[in-house]
Amino acid sequence: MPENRYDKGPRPGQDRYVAPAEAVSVGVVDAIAEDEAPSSMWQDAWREMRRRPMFWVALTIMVAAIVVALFPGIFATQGPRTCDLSESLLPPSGEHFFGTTKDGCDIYSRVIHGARPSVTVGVLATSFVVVLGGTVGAIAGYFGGWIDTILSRITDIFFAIPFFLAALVILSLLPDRNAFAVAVVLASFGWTSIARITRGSVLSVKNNEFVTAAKALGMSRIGILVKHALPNAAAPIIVYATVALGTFVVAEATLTFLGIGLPGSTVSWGGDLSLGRTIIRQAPEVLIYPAVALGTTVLGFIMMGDVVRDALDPKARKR
Amino acid sequence: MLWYIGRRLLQVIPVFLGATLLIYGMVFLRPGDPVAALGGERGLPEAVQDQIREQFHLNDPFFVQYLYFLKGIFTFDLGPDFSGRPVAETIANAFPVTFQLALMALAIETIFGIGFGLIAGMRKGKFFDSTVLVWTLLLIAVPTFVLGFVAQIVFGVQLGWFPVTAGRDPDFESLLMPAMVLAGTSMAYILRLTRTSVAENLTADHVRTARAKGLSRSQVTNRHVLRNSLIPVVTFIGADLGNLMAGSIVTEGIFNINGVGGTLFESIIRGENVTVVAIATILVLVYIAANLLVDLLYAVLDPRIRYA
Amino acid sequence: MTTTINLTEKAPEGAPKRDDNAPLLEIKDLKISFTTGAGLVEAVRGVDLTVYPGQSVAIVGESGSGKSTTAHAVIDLLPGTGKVTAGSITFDGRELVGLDRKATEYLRGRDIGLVPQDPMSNLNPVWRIGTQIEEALVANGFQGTKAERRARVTELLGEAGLPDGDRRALQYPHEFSGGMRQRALIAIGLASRPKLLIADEPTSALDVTVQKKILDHLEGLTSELGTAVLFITHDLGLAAERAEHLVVMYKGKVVESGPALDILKNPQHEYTRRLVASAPSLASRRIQSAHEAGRSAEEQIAGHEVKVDGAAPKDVVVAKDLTKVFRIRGARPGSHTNFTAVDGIDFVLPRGKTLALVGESGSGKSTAANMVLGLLEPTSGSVVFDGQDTATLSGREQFAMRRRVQPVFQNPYGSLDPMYSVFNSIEEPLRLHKVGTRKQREQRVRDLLEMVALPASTMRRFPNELSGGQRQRIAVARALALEPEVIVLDEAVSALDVLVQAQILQLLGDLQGELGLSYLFITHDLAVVRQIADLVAVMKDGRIVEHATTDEVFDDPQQDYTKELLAAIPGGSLEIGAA
Repeated sequence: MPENRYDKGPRPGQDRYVAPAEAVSVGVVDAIAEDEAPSSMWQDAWREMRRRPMFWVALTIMVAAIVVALFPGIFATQGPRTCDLSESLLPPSGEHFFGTTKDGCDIYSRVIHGARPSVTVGVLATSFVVVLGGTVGAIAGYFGGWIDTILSRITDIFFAIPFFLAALVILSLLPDRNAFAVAVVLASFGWTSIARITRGSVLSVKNNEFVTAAKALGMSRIGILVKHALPNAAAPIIVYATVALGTFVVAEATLTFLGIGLPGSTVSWGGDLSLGRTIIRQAPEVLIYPAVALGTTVLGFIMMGDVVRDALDPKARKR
Repeated sequence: MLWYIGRRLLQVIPVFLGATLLIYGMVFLRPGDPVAALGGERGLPEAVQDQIREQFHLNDPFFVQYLYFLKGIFTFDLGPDFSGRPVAETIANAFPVTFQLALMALAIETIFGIGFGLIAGMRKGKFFDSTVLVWTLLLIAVPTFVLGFVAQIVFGVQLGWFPVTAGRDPDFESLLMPAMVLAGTSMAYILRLTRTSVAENLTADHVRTARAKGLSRSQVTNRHVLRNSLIPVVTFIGADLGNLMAGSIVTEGIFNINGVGGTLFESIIRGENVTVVAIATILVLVYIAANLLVDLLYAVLDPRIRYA
Repeated sequence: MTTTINLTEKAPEGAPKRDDNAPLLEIKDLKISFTTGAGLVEAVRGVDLTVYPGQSVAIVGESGSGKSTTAHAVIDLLPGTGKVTAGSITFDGRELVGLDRKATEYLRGRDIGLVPQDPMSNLNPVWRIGTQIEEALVANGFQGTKAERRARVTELLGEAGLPDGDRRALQYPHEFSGGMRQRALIAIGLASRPKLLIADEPTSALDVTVQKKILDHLEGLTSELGTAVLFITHDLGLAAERAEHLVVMYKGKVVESGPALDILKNPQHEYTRRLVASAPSLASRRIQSAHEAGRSAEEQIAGHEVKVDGAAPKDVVVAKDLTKVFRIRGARPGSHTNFTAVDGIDFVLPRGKTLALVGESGSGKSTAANMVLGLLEPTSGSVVFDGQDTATLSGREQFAMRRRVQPVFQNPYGSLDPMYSVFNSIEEPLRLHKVGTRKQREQRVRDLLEMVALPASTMRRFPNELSGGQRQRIAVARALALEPEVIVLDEAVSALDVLVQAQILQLLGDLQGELGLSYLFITHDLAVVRQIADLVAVMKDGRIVEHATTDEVFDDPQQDYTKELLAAIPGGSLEIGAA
């Protein structure tokens, strides 16, 4: 027994030591900090985000893109279609900030007016995937069993078809294409990732004890799904949706560039890039402006996704 | 292990049937009559139209048509397209170069994505990490076709490092730049995935145990961090081969490569349904095969899977 | 205990001779800080510690006391941004603070081994057990052929209490139980015969009987090898039983240190005194609620006279031949096995009393609790609530019934929805059952918070701002919201620190006295049972092996299994306590 070992008394450095009471004061057990302001997960995330310059850069880009898309007339007084062939390929000047295209259109105003279709497609397609993918994923994850099996297999099927290929095929079949149609087509094959994310998130929330407690209160399955499971799945969905918005904008531009997205009559970045391509060797700058506008917008959204993800990371949060 | 493979194979069947049916339905249930549209303004004589309909089984119910198509896929006898050229031949001509391009892109994104991702993950928050992260954001933000033009102008025309276009029967060197362009976006995703996974694994309890055992830093990284971190990355790479082949539509267009992308694009524009569906089906098959391969690799990487 | 080596029977001469007089490990005024968003946070604020060769020393403290941080600093494995800012750590006469990477790597495993805390996460899931042990050998200079290495691995596994090592070495961690993994980790820690073994809560995740076996084994092994052991533990009883020298830490400082039994018998510092008084493994009496303390002796005695038969009206919950069989899908398609989680159990919960269902993991105790809560349907048998068989209830009656039985669960981090404020969490049951107006509900939430001794301002807070104990109090308040008659406490205090645990137990006792609540107390920890339960039902493999009053079970256990459980309580052998 341990007693025996101390027969010879304590060894050097192991004498009985008691800290003076004033050196370590023992407070109330489990005292609550009453002075701190209460903070929900979202408030914590907000505090975390606003410290980061990247957040402000991303936010500025996003807000700018949306405002320009809503009110292009404020920023560009010249119409994007008022072109003068005699002003073909002018260098930048006070009148034409970015110069003119081969057809003599003002590049600046075309870039400004090109924002609307891109942002519209991005926002619409993202809304559709969140609703569709979110619903499928939530139902599959929460109800499980054969419902999950069927929904997951359907998700697998859609996942197996390359997203871009499907969009090309369907859009080529549509006689008149507009931003809404492009968004629907992009969404109809782009919802699978969000379905998987939501499913996984709901599955992990489902096993929490607060869900069991709600069941013990007699809450219905739908009630638990809506009141507990979905709000907790919101964070990863928001992060993914922000990044997805950027990728939808890229997809739209690529499709339009190939001539299968928005029609040529719509002023759009993809369309202008397609037009600029023909004269890329003579005047690469015609290509640069819409490309930079497109790249910056997309960058804004994916940066925001990054910042939000870092801020919502449960491991990074306190306690 | 055998049960695991068996179950995965069984799961593949509904996915294959569902995906091909979806594509087939999408293309063939389009409004309008493709045969009536043939022959331009005047159209073809009734008798010829009927003959074509008979030849392409267009008078049969949809599901019968679909079964004929499936038979065609598996016997690799898809019949001629509307212009009389065998569809199988068109595909056989287009596939090798695209497959080579996609595999090169896959190799590039895997090597650089995992390599840089590993370093970035190990030095999370440091200079290298931040720099690489900004580059990945740029790669994701800039559309592939813009990237392609920039690369073509800068490295092809101005610097002359690579051939500007690939053309017919391209060799390894002329496919290198297109492959890098094609790999760009995916590489960024792989890098970020690897980085997150590595950073997460570095703080795992079992890695601390490995260090406490007295393993050196490189042993810990190679044996305990990298292998565990690769599991989610491998999943992504498996799903990506199909996307790369579909994505070649843009890249092949820019660099003038006669592959699947170009053929597919032309067929879509011309309404060559059989060719479109056949290529799409093959891409689905490629996806499924790649995923099966990944699942096997997965089972090798993670012993828990084998018994699941 | 036939396979384990018991230290008490071992002659001390068995240990190899060493220079016993020079300290092996000496920590002086150690300070460790972490860089956080809020600046530099000092986690360890001046710790002194000495370990002699072959000696066992324990650092005791609650979570956040800095005990693990101190231990990890010794082998330079501080997590994240942790850094030693001052003080020295000498090992075998050599300064470890500031030692370069190569030298530290050389030291790890060879001179100082580590047995980490959680056996589930500390083995790499993708490598075979044998490979992971072999690594530890090779890294520390084991010279030998492949066959020799293999043989050594087998030997080490056997030594750690895993016979059949040849086969075990080829298995993966997921094929091992928690206890087996911990043995594998011990094999790794001792593979290269270190002079010092740091055992960081080596058994806190394991069942008590397994814990005892493993600790006995470890003790035998290290004393045979002459290895010094530095235990890190939250359990004072365990520390006193396993170590000769104790260091009690609180908030990054040493509050008291000295010979283990000395400290236990005669705690000086206020914190140590509280710790000794609260340690469930040492305390031996039922907590008296404020209410009960005022009752007459007859009443209390009358309350304890409970017959374990029939459904007398005073029994609020009666389980009759309760059985639950789960269908488990096999690896092959279509194949399945039946697993009987609960196998025909009978128990009785008298009104206003506490029945403890005690058992180790897999005993079926939580399954039984879920059937009482109406969360699982019994395969056969019945739960009779207040004279009414719950299986016969209609949907509406069942909904109404739920108000009368409410749960509190184990995990203080999972039991509250992180998106809900405290107010929303407590109000949820009231809203769901449409109780009162919004104003009345708010008043009720205030009252409930007061009942669990939290300020009303807590209402606006979110779970991530609260400690584990505070969350558990909120969970209790939520359970009380609908004025239930029965509360099912499923390991409700198991995850809490000792002092907080004592506080919650006291609170539960008070509430029971005030409100006449009946508790079904599910736990793996017999020590806690003594503090709160009137009746005990001991479960093993889905069956109740013993069902009697708490005093009977503790003073005169009838079954071998119950005796084994009692013997496994850490510190149980020490004849001291609060009494």
